[in-house]
Amino acid sequence: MVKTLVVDDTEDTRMVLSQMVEQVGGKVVAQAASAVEALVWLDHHGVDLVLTDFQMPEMRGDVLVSRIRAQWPTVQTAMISVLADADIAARAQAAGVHWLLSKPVTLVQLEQVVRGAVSHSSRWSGGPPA
Amino acid sequence: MDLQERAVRIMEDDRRRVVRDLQDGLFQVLSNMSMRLDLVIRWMDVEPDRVNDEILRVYRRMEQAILDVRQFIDDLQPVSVHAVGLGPAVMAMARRLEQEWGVPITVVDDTAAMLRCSSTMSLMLYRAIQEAVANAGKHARAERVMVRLYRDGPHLSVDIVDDGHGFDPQALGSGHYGLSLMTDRIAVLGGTCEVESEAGHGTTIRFRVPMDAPTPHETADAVVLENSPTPL
Repeated sequence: MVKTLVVDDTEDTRMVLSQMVEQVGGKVVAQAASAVEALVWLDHHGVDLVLTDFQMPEMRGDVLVSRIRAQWPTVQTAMISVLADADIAARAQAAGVHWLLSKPVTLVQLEQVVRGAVSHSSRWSGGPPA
Repeated sequence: MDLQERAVRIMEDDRRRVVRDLQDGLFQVLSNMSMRLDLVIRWMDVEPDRVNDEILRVYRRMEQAILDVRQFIDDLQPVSVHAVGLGPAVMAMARRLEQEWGVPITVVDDTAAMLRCSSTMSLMLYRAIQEAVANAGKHARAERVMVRLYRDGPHLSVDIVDDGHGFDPQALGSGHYGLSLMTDRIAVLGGTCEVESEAGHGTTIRFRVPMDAPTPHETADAVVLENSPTPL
């Protein structure tokens, strides 16, 4: 099962996203209400996938992903945004986001993300390359 | 920055504020409803109990969405501020927001009948006060808000004081449309906008706008337009 951290500043959104991830075969191991909270949690726990909102107070999702990619390069990241326009796509790409999704997210999209994270974690199961 | 530039900036910032409110409010609620219904469709034949729970949740969110839209319409509604007077218009706004947020908003109008604002001045001040009160109630999570309108020599001053979580005014970026909108609206009137705030210690916003001197008969006692007695 893909161990997933869900990051969103709205409780209702965290709840429904978590239900959806579980529905498509992922395992939500934690929820964080902010990027800072997510980074603190990641300091002490392992995870396969981080599913984060883009627009959050204090720290945006793309900045969170940049930090994750720098510190935990094997963790897969999916970012959700109201718009997935060229500007957001460029920010996502620069940050190293693996999947960019626009709201409302569908189960079909999340199935692809979780399936992609599964194949990625199996590729990396021998440990990250040097 | 000249007046025309300020007017354009006010319009643009106003649009950004509307976009932000839609994104954070109605769009969020509708998105979550859509995602919940996606789950409902998946569960329909296999988990009827969960379907019932989710439909109930969607129904509640829909009620919330209707309230959000009503508030949005109220916020955008043209207001006949000049016809009723700035003080009474602010009082009406405060009563509506009190009901929506459950946060006591005290309005003290020390200007009473003295004000002879132009319709533009009244409306600009009303919208600036609306923005400041909205910031206090929606973003600063204040438990109490006080608005005081008073004469200050040749100026009309308005203080908006809240006990919310406050912020560092120096740390605000250019993307803080609400503050920029207030400042621009007051600047168009030739006035100033001062913000005193500190994280954890609430916020005081003061507008100071020049106005005509009162005529001799224009004296009145302070009128408290709301019955919340506790000062902040």
